[in-house]
Amino acid sequence: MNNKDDKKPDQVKVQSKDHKTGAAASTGLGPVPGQPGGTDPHQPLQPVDPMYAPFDPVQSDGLPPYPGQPGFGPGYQPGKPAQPGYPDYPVYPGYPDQPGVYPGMELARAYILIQRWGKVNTPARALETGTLFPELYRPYPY
Amino acid sequence: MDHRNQVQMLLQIQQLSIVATELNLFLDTHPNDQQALNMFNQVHNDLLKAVRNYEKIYGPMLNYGYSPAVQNRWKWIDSPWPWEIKY
Amino acid sequence: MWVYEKKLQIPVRVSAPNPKLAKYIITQYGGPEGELSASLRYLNMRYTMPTAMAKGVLTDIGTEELAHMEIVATLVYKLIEGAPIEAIKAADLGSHYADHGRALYWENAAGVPWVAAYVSATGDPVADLHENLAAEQKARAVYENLLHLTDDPQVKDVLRFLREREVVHFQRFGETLMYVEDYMNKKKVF
Repeated sequence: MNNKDDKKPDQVKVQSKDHKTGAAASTGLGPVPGQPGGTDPHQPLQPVDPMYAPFDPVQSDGLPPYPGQPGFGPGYQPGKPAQPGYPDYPVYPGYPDQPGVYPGMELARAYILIQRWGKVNTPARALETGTLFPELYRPYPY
Repeated sequence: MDHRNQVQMLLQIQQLSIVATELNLFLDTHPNDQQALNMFNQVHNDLLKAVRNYEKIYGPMLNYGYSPAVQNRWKWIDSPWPWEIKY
Repeated sequence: MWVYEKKLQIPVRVSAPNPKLAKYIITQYGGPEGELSASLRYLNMRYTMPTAMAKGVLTDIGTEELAHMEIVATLVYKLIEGAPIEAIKAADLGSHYADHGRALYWENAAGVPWVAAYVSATGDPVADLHENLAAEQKARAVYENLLHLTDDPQVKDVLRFLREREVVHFQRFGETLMYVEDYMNKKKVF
């Protein structure tokens, strides 16, 4: 389930005890909506060109924003559980009377995670799903 | 009018083209990603080859000088235009 | 400058002519969350963006939205092609036919023509990128509405592709926003 071992060596590895369980799609910043997983009806029927990585069912890699990601200040420490908007968000040491302060992050602005390079779809699968990246595939089965 | 061969060749070009477009957008926000750059260059070569093969039969794919006029007629204007093709 | 590539981004098929469906789908041609609005919005904003990344992203996504406009136009064209006048009147497209015949036109599903008020540009990069994020979500939502309105599997394939592209564009604008916010914060140090 946890495919961190498949990561290419130049990707940032973040160790955190929150991510060993890996059952829920935990990025450390709250649930990520819409990440599909599990069986997929569009299994490739023929061997894929080795230039492209084989298509896997999409799984969250469970990693939070990487240290130094633009938009997050240097005080942001991935691995510290921070779930904005959720009732069990922690109070950080040093801010006992200011619950809801998130090191490196500001209020009143939006944060979007920056995608990291990973596996890609084959060209045929990319045209079919509408994206080269399985982790950006958010199907609407209606 | 049977467009089957044309549709087949176009499908291959469309597949390579979506990969190139996606890599283009990814590289716009990840300008130093070497893996994406390498894949982009590979797809660029594949796409150009596919486009030139298509053009030999069906005429220019791009206007304004980016495609050669391969036969003795300006095939650029010929039907079918993209919205007329029976996919 | 723009160069035209004589192909659609994806193959577009319809199972059968269907003017009623065409009347709904034309909203993504010339409606408030349609591809014309998207492409003009992004192409217009790029002139005054502060970073190279933002200019690149807006140019590329704006150009892709023009290609999507062509796809929506093809869908409408194929859904109306060959339909008799009675079918066109029954589909409530008689008013459109009176003004435009069988030609396409930029209007929403109710027939209201496109206006520039659908597009905003404040000149503030952070505000404008948020406008783009919202636009991508709205376009995605409208494609979902259109998916609810039809059973035609081939039309649905096209709508699903276009919807997924909006999801991807949202991600790219989000990444651009992060970098632009960083840049604007650094600039504040005088």
